[in-house]
Amino acid sequence: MTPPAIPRHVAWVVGLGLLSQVFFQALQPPPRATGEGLPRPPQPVMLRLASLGEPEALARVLMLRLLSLDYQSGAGPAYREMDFARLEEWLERLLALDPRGQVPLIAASRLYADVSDPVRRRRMLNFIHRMFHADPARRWPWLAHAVIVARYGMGDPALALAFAGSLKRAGGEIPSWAREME
Amino acid sequence: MAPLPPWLAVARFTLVEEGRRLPWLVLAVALTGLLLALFAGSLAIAEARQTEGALLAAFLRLSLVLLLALWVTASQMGEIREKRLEMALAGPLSRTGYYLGRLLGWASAAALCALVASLVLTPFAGEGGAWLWGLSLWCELILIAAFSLAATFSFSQVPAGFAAAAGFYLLARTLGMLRVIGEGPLMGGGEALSTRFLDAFMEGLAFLLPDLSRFTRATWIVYGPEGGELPFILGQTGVYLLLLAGVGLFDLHRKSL
Repeated sequence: MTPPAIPRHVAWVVGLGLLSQVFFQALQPPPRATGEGLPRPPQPVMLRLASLGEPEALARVLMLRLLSLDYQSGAGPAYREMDFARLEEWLERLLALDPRGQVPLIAASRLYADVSDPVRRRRMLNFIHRMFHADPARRWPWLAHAVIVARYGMGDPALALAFAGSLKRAGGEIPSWAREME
Repeated sequence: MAPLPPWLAVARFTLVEEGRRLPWLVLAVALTGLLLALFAGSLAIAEARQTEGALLAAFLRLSLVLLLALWVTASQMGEIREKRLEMALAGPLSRTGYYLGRLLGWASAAALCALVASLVLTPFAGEGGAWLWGLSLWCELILIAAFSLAATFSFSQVPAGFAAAAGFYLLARTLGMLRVIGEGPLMGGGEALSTRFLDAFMEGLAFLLPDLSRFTRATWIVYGPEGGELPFILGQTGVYLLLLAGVGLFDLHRKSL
């Protein structure tokens, strides 16, 4: 059976609707990350509750959300202007939700510790150092990276030595080259 | 009293038919959300009211969207399966009139849902927060109802229609975030063909989908309303509703009855 012909007014509505949607979206500014408004992270018990028994999944979703807040694709405030104390709270909560997850430490060492502000940079490196002690076997690469950033990026040999000393004392499954950075 | 025009009678029938059952379900959802939010609030060591408001708002938004999508899909499939659609079109009612009547009926049902939800949220919101949130939820529900209605003429089964509506909704809510992440340094190899293709695909998709991440935000309940978003919400709803109505009408006219 041949389907009935489409009335002309329907074709016009579809065309007009499609054009209006494309035009409307073209008028909108591109999505922009807003680091200034980083909210305070929920309490650990609330996060556990919200995870519905899947803390690793929630941690990853929240990490994505955090990354979307601080990436800057163009002009505008960059993540170097974020409240790093609050950012550190977030990263710590996410690591508590998923202790085996590496993304918070990757972000801390590769993104947040890469900002030009030395105070914020030092805060992130110290955070990596602090988190390292909870699981040296998994987290040593980020502390090894922190040693290099402290020594060559910040020109602070004392800080680099302190981190390298922690790597040396942790021993265990850490490769010898990392233990001998001191 | 003069009889209603046929398309308005369809709208009235849709509202009355669903109006009997839908508010009870909405109330049950709202009550469940309220209990969960109060429980969560009792666990918070600070800002308990804000915590309750934020959780309740997020819960109501997602639950009502999914509930309405399922309701519209199931109801419209019933219309087709039980031949009520054919009976309606056997009279002096055009397909366009039928479609617009159904759409208007669902928009009215959506208003009822949004009204109940914003009333439940009012004690947790600052001045004006619940009303802006409710208005935005209404717009969001209209769009999801219109999409579900259009999807029922394209898919002939409830699960497929509902899955399409849920997929559309989740993508429309997360696309902005995905685009921002896609432009960030962690994607690595920005020059790789696959990355460029993915970026271009998401940029293209952004032109075709409404940005629902700017609708019905729980932050309006916690930190007060942001009236500046209202023109965008109303504009986006109007424009996208036109597109969805066109697509739905196209599919309905294409259908052999």
